[in-house]
Amino acid sequence: MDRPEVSSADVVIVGAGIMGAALAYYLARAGVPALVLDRAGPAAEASGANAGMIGPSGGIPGKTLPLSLLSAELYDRAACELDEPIHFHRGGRLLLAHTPEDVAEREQFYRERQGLGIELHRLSGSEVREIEPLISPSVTFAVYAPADGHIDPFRATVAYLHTACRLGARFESLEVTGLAMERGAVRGVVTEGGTIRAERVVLAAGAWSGELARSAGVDVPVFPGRGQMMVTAPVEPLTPRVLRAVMIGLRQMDQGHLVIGSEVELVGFQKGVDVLTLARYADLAGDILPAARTLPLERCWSGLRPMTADTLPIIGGVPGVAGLDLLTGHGRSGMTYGPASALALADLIVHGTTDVPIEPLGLERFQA
Amino acid sequence: MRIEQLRDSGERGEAFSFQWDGREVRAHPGESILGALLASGTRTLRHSSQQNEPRGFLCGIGACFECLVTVDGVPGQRACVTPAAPGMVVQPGGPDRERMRGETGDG
Amino acid sequence: MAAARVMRRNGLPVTLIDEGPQLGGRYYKQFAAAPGIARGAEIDRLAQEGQAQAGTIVRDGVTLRADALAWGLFPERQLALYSGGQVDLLEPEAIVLATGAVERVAAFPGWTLPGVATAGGVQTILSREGILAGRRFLVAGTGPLLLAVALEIAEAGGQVVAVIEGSAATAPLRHIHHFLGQGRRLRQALDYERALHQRGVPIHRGQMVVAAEGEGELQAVTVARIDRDWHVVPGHEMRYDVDTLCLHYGFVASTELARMVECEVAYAPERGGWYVVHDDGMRTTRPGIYVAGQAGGIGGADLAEATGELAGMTVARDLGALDDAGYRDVADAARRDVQRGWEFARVLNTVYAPGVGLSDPITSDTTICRCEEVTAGALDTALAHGARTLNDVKRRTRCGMGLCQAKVCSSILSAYMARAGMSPEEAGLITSRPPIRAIPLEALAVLGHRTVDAAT
Repeated sequence: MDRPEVSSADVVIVGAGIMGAALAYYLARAGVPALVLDRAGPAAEASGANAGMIGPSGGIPGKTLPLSLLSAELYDRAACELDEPIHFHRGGRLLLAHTPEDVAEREQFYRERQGLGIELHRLSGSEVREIEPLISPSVTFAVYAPADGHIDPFRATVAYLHTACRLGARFESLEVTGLAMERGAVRGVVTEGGTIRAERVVLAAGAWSGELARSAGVDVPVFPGRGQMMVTAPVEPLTPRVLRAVMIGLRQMDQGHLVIGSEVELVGFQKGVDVLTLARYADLAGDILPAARTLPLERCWSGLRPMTADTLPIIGGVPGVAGLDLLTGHGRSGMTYGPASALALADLIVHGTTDVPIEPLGLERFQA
Repeated sequence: MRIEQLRDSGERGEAFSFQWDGREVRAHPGESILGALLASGTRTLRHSSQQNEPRGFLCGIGACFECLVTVDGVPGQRACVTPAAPGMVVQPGGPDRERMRGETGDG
Repeated sequence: MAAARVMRRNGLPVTLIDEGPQLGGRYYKQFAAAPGIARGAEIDRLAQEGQAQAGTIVRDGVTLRADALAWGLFPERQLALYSGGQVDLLEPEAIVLATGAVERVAAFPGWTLPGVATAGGVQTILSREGILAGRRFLVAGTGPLLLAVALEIAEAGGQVVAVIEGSAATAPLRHIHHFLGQGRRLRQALDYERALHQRGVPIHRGQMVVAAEGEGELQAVTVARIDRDWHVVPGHEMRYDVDTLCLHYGFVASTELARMVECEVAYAPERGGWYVVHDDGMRTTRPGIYVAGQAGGIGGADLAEATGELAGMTVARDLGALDDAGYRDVADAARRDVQRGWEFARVLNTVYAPGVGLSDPITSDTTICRCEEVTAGALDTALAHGARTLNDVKRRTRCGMGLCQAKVCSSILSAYMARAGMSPEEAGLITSRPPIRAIPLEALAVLGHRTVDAAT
């Protein structure tokens, strides 16, 4: 087994998904070079198994809405600041309704976000078809968020990581198997090649954050929620928007592929895909965009998202355990909340404080 | 180029034609779109969607997805495993550039 | 076909699935080439043999699903097919994966130009349709297939300007003792050489294609001399004016279906690279899944048939249709054939293996992933940033994320990374994902249990 190339670092980030990569960037920009460790590389898990749907409008008021709104602004800036393109487009997101139950859900979404400065429109079926002529005739209603959009999750994660490394961060492809403790404080990480000492360790390991935290005697209640994904061959432009039905959604990549996904399945740490589920998603995709039906299905895969019982992420330190920070638990919305979550934690690490309102999102809320 | 002598019956079936990029191309029963195009001297089947590079066929057995053409309006057909048929309308594969909208943002 | 025949003979209900319209795969292709050519007798024999085997199989009661693509394999043995516009699922007690191999190509400046194709692809179009892909041909790479293809093209009236073989002239001589006892094949290889010589087609050994060029289509190919590791020995470049370049650098086993259910694979140069691991009865590491033919290691048709028979026998025994004693009798003989086949295959795979210099002609502008148009420069960035596996490179560059599902670029990427210091075992393979080949979304959709939407 290779020995790690470095034996110590100020900050070790476990996980090179959007959280770890963005954190490495914001830290590097502030002059703190972190060591990012991931057994597989950037965007290997949930950050590489999502449709790249960015829904700032979908943040929970008073909880994650500031994160989602700020993240979208940060992506806008990242498009110019990062070394590589991230393909972020704010073309709008349609929250579609097919049934009366769907309509009720969408109406509630709309009501809960009134007066918060988010542009939202209620559209009848025919109004939806005016802006999206190819949408299925079975759509009866939609809430439209013009400032929402989509991103290439691979490119975004990689752009953050590569730029961070240019600014002084380091990446190593290593598996972290546990946390190294010393007198009740975290003092490093245990890897397959040896221990790496660190002043601070950030767990940005998605669904695996819980298992790693346990090695420090800390309970981080994230659990895996599988999402199955499908991508088609490239096709001419069908829509610039995110089309989100209640169960699944789809959007089109810049190169023309349609990306379709996904529900949340509680199947433990089981990746893989299920033919009947894929068949159902294929059918549902046709209920959103009939033109999708004839497209060649290129590839199917799945990822495990870090779910929490209250659907909110876990950001910040761990009471009573020095040297350990958490940046995880974002469920299906990692891409939507990524940059702001990372910036908030970077602020905490560098300055000890942050303007980003993450108080409701600390681990304390789980500790009775 | 069609070779002169065949093994089995010694003769190709009766010729027919299909459309390629607006012109008539001759084909015989049993020929793929690719074969007929090659026999007529056409090797460029499409242009790549990002770099606009000319592409032809590579593997000839339907595995590599290089030889993509649009057949009777349906895009993404592999010319090497699609039999030519009378009256078919075949167009070069690759994006219909006039219909591709420009990219916003950083592309 | 061999496995199906054996299993049926032992009374098992067997379904044989083939993606093509006819049985026989690449070996027993339908032949349309002109009579009287040196390969004519061989082609006749193959064609007849293939038809006879196919006929026997159907007569014996094997259920034949032709024009059926096996696009996915899911735990434990759920096989997803696409045929006639529809998807259906089979759940057999045993599956023999005889998924074969694809030709290996190499990347170099200009390799994406129309006119650059695989030797087998040019051969397929010629055999199947009696059509030559061009007029002036260069046949290049490594392996006995080059001679066969060059001769077929020449006999059909194409002008073969040269055959470019990477392995040095003396390479086969070092292994000559293995060739003894392979009389038929040795004679065949010598026959091809003699026939090509008679037609004035030069065979250059110890050389490699380093560039292709042309205005929009292939017009010329540059060939260089190489050393034993395939590094270019500068100063001896030759430029050939050709319109068709037939590339063949050996075969790559098609292990995607096996890997989809996590059958173990391993890398061994003497097996032609990555192959599906199996025991001496052709069982893979997953219960009820067996492998036959090239997917278990590159080794030619005789070996493929022997492994097919052995796999069929093992299935029969494992399902109780053949008792231990009966199995032992027949399996031992089959194993000896397999063993013999492997000894010869090992030599071919060793003699005709591209060296590490194969990747040398690649520049930062050279396309590596044709589907997603990823250049070597993008790979270099990923490697510089610490990517050490094919999957990591894939995620950072999109190399391997295109329509062909990495069938073309995987071996190119692997060789490129080997040259950068990552062994094939370390770099691994790109994760196999369904579908093996793209299928229409709606074919999958109808499998769902939804009722038809009233509004449509």
